[in-house]
Amino acid sequence: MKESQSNRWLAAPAAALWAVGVALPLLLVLRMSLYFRGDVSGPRQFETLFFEPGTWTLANFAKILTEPFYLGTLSFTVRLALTTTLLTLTLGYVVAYAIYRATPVGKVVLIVLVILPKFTNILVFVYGLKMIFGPSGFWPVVAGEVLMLLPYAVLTIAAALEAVPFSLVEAARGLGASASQAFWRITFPLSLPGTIAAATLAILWSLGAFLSPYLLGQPAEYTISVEVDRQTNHDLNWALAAALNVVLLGVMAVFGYSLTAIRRRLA
Amino acid sequence: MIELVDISKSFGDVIALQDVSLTVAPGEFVAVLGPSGCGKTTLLRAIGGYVPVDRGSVWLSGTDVTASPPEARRVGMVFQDYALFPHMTVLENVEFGLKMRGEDKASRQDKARSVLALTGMDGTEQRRPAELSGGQQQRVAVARAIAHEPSALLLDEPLANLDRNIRLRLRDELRALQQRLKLPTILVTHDQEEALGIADRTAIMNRGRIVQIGGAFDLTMHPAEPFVSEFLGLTE
Amino acid sequence: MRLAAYFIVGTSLVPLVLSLLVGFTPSRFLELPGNAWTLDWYRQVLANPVWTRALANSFIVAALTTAISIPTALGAAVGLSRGEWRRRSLWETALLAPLALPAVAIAAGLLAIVRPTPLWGSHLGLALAHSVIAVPVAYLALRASLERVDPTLEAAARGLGATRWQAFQHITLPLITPGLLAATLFAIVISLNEVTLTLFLATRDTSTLPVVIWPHLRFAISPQVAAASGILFVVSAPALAAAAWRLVGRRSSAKSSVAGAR
Repeated sequence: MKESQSNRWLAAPAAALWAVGVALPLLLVLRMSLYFRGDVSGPRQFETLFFEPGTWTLANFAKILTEPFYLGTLSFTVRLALTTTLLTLTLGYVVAYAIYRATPVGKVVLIVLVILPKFTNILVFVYGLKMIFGPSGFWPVVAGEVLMLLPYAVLTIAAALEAVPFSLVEAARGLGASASQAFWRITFPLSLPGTIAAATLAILWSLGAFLSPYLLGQPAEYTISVEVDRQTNHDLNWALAAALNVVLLGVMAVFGYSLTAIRRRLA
Repeated sequence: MIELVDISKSFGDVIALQDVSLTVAPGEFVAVLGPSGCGKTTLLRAIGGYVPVDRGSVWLSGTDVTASPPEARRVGMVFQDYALFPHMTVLENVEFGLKMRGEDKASRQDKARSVLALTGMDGTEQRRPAELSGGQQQRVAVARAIAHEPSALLLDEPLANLDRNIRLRLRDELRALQQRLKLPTILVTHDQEEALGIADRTAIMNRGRIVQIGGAFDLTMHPAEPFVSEFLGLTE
Repeated sequence: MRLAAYFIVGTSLVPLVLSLLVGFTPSRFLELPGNAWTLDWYRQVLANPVWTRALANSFIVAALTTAISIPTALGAAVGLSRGEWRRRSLWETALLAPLALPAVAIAAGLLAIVRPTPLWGSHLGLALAHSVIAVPVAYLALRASLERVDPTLEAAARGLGATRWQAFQHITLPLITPGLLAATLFAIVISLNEVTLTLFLATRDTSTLPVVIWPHLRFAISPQVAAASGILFVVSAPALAAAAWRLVGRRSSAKSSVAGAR
């Protein structure tokens, strides 16, 4: 009985929570996506209300992949995620670079200001956004998403930048490079892996965008996640909601996998 | 008394110890000398109970402790970077072993104070390790190791991180202290001057084996293998 | 460059400041308080059993979430960093997965699991769901803290007669207290502010403050919501202050503990 082996058992509670709280829900979602929808007409019975147990069908996926409404939702979700990610990365890089070049005190001030919104409720935030933008629409939704993601992007990129010794830039300047040449030839390439990590995080989270589309958007700005909520909690069609979740996870897997592959190639 | 009987240990394909036998009598000071990676640190950790051996047995004061965990072996170990507990005062560090044994506060503080006096560190009881110099930290580490009345003293390159002047002085102090307490002691080092200057006998290790053991005169005049003369000559 | 950065950061704080200010307006509409400030909306919120019960639910669930997620995350962090694992990074990725997964997917799956069990409609069920997200975050904080503790210290304690548990209790635990504190703060803040999972899993009896605010945000906006949001902010603010203090204070203390290990 080696101690290093018995130490593994300390992770057992986490493993149990993971099995019940992560693996099982996802497997259940996968299974539910293949059920027929439940019976919401006539006398409602709990067992068959949300889905028809024991059935197998691809109808839910067929519906999502053929009906213009769902295809529109899907393409809007991707479009929103790409817009959000691009904006988040650009703004995040600017702030991260300022942190990189700041004095020790300046660093702390900037970091505290950046993470301040993370310690407040998203709803407090959304409330303020609603006051600024008034009527809902595409750009309020984008703004909400960007503001939610910005702190994570800034911290990830700043960590990547901190690992680039500024003496490299000074050396390049000494060899005759202009400030912008030094940045694009030295700093930026070296910070790229971290920036791609931030991009991965941003795209995965914005693909799952739920709160700001729901609260700041019109039905035209509803994403897959909003539709999952609608199907689960209002139309009580858990089978279709599950299929939407599976499609969303599939899209996320494609983006996550390709960005990871790019980062591997750079490393 | 420390007795090692044919102990072997390998990590995957790497053989760290191969049929090592060694007896250290009460009051005897043995240095284990060898290049890095020769297995000397593994030897010390095997005696301390941190590394379970694959074969062979470890005896302390006539008891077979091969299967015992470190806390049941009661050896005093001084680590290379001293491993002083940074969140405790010097006094709390030194009385830790006695506290674990359940001694009451008054008696363990008495003992800790007298051990600190023995190592010339009285007056620093309430300081934290971070406030001490390297040499002072080393003395506290030695005090902590002998405070819980160990059956053997194990020293893992205890002088390696110190300046030369302090090193020489602490070496002599260590030897005098060991003679006074009559503890069987093993010192692991890669510095031949340190080994030959402090120990009654020196064991030369290479690739997990003890290739020769003896006094300074034996080793230099009658090297058993080319490796011994080579190693002693190289580090001159 | 620095101006641009401060502009971006400043702009990102505007919504927060605005929504907090509106809670003090004397008007019935969403207007900033001019000369007159009032606490009427806060009084209304605190006098209304719907809001106070939501506040109580928030605290109960946050406390339960902390009680569940901190020991769980601590076990995972110690087990993964001090145990022997063949594919450590794979296990770690799995453990952190809930941070990348869409909340609605976990929420929909959990709903289907919890709905037929007695956990449905209980604070405990909600806290378990919050723990799914809180554990990976707490794990990250604890792992960072554990990595700074030299394993030789525990070895030294063992050699001095401490059992494995005593060595952990007397050496490692005091040394990771800052990380433990951070992990606890994260767990509390995550639970207090969690919206999506709670929206799917809370019943009328267990609705936390964000869930009660939720329909108001979509349909009937009044300064009362701003006041409720303000309360949520005030509740989270000590956690923020503690975190900021730690961020500033850490550098000096980290240096001295490193020097101590040398």
